[in-house]
Amino acid sequence: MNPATAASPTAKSDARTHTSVTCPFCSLLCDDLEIADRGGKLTVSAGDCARARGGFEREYAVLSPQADGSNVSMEKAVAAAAKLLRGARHPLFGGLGTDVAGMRGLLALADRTGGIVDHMLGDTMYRNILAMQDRGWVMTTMTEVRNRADVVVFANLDAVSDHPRFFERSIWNADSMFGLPTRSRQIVYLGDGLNTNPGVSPDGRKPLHLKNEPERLGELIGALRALLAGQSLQADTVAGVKVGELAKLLEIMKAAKYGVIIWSPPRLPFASADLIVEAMCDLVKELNAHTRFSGFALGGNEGILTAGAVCAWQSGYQLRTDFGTGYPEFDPTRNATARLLENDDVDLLLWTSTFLTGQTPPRTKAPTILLAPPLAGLETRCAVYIPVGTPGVDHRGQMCRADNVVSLPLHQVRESALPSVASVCNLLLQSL
Amino acid sequence: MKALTLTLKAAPAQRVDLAPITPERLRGKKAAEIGKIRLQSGNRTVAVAELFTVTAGDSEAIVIRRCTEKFDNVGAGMACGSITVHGSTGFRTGAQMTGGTLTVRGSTLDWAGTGMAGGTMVIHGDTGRCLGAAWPGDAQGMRNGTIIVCGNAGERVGDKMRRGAIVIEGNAGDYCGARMISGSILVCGKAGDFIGYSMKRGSILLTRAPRLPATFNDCGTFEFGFLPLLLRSLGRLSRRAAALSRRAGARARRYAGDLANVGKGELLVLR
Amino acid sequence: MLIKLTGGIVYDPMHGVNGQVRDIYVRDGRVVSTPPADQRIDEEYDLRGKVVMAGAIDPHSHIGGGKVNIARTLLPEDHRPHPIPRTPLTRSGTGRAAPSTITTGYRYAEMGYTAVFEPAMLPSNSRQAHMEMADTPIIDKGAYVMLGSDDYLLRMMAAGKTQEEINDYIAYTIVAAQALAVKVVNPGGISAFKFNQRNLDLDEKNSHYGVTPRQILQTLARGVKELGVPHPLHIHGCNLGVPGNMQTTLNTITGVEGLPIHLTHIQFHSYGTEGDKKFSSGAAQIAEAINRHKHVSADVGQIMFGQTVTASGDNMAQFRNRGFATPNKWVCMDIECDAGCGVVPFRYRDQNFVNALQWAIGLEIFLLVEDPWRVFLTTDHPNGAPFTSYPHLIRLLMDKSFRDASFERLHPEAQAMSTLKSIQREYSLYEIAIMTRAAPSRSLGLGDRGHLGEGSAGDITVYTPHDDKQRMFERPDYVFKDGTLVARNGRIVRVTDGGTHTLRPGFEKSVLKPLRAYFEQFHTVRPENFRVSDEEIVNEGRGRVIVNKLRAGSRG
Repeated sequence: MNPATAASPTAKSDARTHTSVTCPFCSLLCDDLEIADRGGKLTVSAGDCARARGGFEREYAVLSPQADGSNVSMEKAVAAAAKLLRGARHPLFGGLGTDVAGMRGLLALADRTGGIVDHMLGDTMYRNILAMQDRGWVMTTMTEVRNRADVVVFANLDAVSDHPRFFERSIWNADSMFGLPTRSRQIVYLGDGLNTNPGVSPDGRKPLHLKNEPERLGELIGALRALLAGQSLQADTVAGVKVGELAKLLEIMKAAKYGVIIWSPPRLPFASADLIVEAMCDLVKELNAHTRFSGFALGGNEGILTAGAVCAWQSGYQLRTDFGTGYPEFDPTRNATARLLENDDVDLLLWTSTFLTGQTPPRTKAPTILLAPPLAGLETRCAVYIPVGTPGVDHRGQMCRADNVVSLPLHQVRESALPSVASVCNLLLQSL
Repeated sequence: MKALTLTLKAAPAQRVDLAPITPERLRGKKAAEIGKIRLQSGNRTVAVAELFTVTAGDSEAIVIRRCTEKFDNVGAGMACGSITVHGSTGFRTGAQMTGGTLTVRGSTLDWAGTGMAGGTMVIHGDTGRCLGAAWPGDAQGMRNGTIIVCGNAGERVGDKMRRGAIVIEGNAGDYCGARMISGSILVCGKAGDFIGYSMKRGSILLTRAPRLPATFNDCGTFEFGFLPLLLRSLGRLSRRAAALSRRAGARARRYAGDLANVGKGELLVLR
Repeated sequence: MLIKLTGGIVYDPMHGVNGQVRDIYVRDGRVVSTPPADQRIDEEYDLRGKVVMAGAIDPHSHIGGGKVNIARTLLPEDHRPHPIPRTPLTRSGTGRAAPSTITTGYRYAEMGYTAVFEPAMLPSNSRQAHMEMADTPIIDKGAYVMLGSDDYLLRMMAAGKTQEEINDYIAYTIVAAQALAVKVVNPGGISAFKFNQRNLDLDEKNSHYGVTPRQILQTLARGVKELGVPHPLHIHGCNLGVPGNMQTTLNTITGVEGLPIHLTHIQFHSYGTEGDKKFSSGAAQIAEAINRHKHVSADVGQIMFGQTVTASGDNMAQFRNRGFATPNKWVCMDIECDAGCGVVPFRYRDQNFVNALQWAIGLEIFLLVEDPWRVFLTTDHPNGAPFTSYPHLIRLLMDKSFRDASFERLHPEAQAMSTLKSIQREYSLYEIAIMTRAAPSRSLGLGDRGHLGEGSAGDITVYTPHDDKQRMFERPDYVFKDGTLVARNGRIVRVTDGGTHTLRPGFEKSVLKPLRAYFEQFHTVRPENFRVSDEEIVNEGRGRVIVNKLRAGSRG
């Protein structure tokens, strides 16, 4: 499957509708979509959301593989990329916006060439990973939230900005199993500048909203932990919130039958935000002495959870892993994409991004190999560009969901001659 | 006998791991032999002689000249003797040190002194984040030894520190003394926000009132017998600490915390 | 391609071969009868003086699935000191207690194991379990799907559904999760924990459903039998690790009305409360009950001293033991109204009274259970110890003097509470071959594995006899997988991909309608995406689906 030029999907007159399609364009992986395929042109006809439309309905330009800016055959492009990989002293496999099979291929290349692997959203993931590696956590998953959660605290996020259908699928769902009328759920927002409308319950009840300074969320959580431990605070406000209000919130949380606190690493854009996540994880553990309480991390998108999971089971570490010494070495500071590129620590960048964002690789002096779908207006002025398909649109695949436990199959919803990231990686491996 | 000296002659393209260059690892090796030692750099190894000119000398006292930030693990795991670096160093400078003296006459990047268990490290310039902190996955930060930073330090100075002493003569970043298990930190300049975040025990000595976190309570001003002793001992290695030792008596204002986590730690603002 | 293995001392208990010198012929990955004399031999191996067995089978090892990956992520300090460099033939990896999957495959093969089974695969996590097992090279694999705390089953039982309707649901779940058998973990207890119940005994009611663990065990054990699933219900009982839980185990043995059951990591369920520390060995009573009840089999779950990590589906027990976490970090999860998981790093110390006695209890069970066909060699990797400690365990079972010397180093009061030194028995090579090859193959219904008879798969391991049985079993001379030489003197020489063992019990299509309604009303995934397809396991030719036969006389 390596056409000389990037084929536009073969035109076909009849429309085929695919049902129960999994959407790979955010980490919720909603799988109730219906996609109509009219000769390669897709429309989302059910399970609609802006991100899904953005992904399924986007147009491809006819882009051929390129080497140094000029169109070449796939064989030549692969050969050029393999040559760069053979000569690299320390390649960075960045972006990593791909499915499980793609990540397997990239890890095999990184292992063979002694490279570093990091995701484009690596900084966000490490707000969770560092906290988990230090203390562990008590977590739950989407179906449990959908059926059990009677108190849901949103810490510094409104969920709908990054995961549009979260409220529809896990909060205001019509039915739940354990006699809890879902409209009676108590929603709490912590933070400022949030779209709290989705938090208004179907029967019009407003959510509780403590407007704390977002960057001082860690201090607020610390205060909740102190109050829970029976300490008395001299301070009368914490992060802009009255201590009395915190005491009330704590009572709500202790009285919950199954409470959940939700955070999203990309929505904690502060240095050392892992300390905030760790405080929330400690609070959840301490609440479990009284009742059942769980955390839930609405993870980043662009396939970061898939990349982390595959890297963890194949190498033992969740990304930011360097295979230079011949075995995996983990360093969350040294192996960060931005730092590596700014200081020219790497001499080749293989950038992969097949989902919604991140198709333009970061600026760097190092030569760049780009694997991305042939999107209209794609910036392809780099050493080698190889057009690849979008997982879940142009070819089958598998991906891991936000709660890091469930993974879903991705379906092919149209004819496409575009290769998958995995098949390109195999071609590269054979040419090394 | 003069010190064994490595003088940088060719700037490396990729980062270089200098861990093999410590007194006990070079003991009894002649210059030529040292030149052949392989250093990990990217996905290859490089001979010492390719990067440095090696001039013979007593391997108990190593001098590295024209060092740059590309060199990681400088003095990592050193157990005795001394290393003096002219220029800056990279990540994990003095990591897991158990003894000896490491002097950097420049700045270092992050994770200097992580997991340190003994010895003394003096950084004349600035240092990055996580000075003396716990490496990801480790239960504790530095367990003993002394670190002096003449310039400024980044965030999370002494994160999960278990024992030992750190002196920051300049300013310290946010989360100074985060999750401290015990030990002492002296910040002569300004300390950042979220000081003592989630600390269990240990003492953070300050020269001016910090932005007080909500989970620290004010205990008032007292005489602390141990303060003059501590300041005098730190003064032997740090001029600013020596000056403080002469000026500040034993009185300090005490703030107890972090109440979110055991709360037996303390911030002591010296008079 | 015809291979001849000449003159080895063969142990093949499935065919009663106890150390007889024989030649073995393997053609195109299958053991064949002696070919005519003029037949050309492509490869011959002179095995005179060497011990020949089928490839070993591990019936209970947590190698793939969400909780194992959580353990890997949680413990970079288990990986940093154990790096495995890449070679031109093999991929790099790390880890000892929670090793990376690629390294797990190589290590098992180097140790002579050719099939390993993940015992706790949540239906909602089955895709990730199969993805991780797909990246575990060389060995065959398979998994037991977890039922017993899933809300759908508990709703059916609370609503009084018939056994046939429940059997259809069990069969559907086995097929959807591509499983080989059924596992129950703390029946009803994981669900009870989600309703804030902190303990659940055998006859205690789940607060929401009013169903007891005994009823769940009976329902699942009967379902597994009626569906013809070869392996009995794989039971992780109630009260794991609780002193005095031997009584729960004895009640479980008698409480399933003679239905075949398999009690897993039974060491953790064999504790009494005698002695001033209120912790004692129940091994004698448990072993006696197993000897008496022929419908019961067990794997021991032996512990070894040192650092490891416990990873289990039993979030109730793991939350209860969080205080023992060493280092002090742990993970607990409620998962998809299906089950849960708990990961607690743990260090066993021989100078700790409880750990020392746990070690002795495991060995007592091994030695007091008389029938080697009904006791399996496991450490519940990594809960009791990493699987790389099996050779050391074999030496403890086969060498009384070594065992007694180890015993004398234990905590003195633990020694006083154990009868281990009074047991003379030493396992023979034949019994080891039963326990690690023939018995698991028969119990799991693997058909052509675990023995060297005609038509069996060419999974063969060759050892050099040695007094030190640990050295003998640590580095086999040759390991063949499907007739291909994959390891030589304990080092990988060829990397192949093993198959995935599954089962296809039949079920009425009528089960699908209420299931679809349940999924769409309460779940966040649709049935057609919940199901793991064959394509996903074949994985572009890197995997193989092996459908094993159901027991005779069952609805296929």
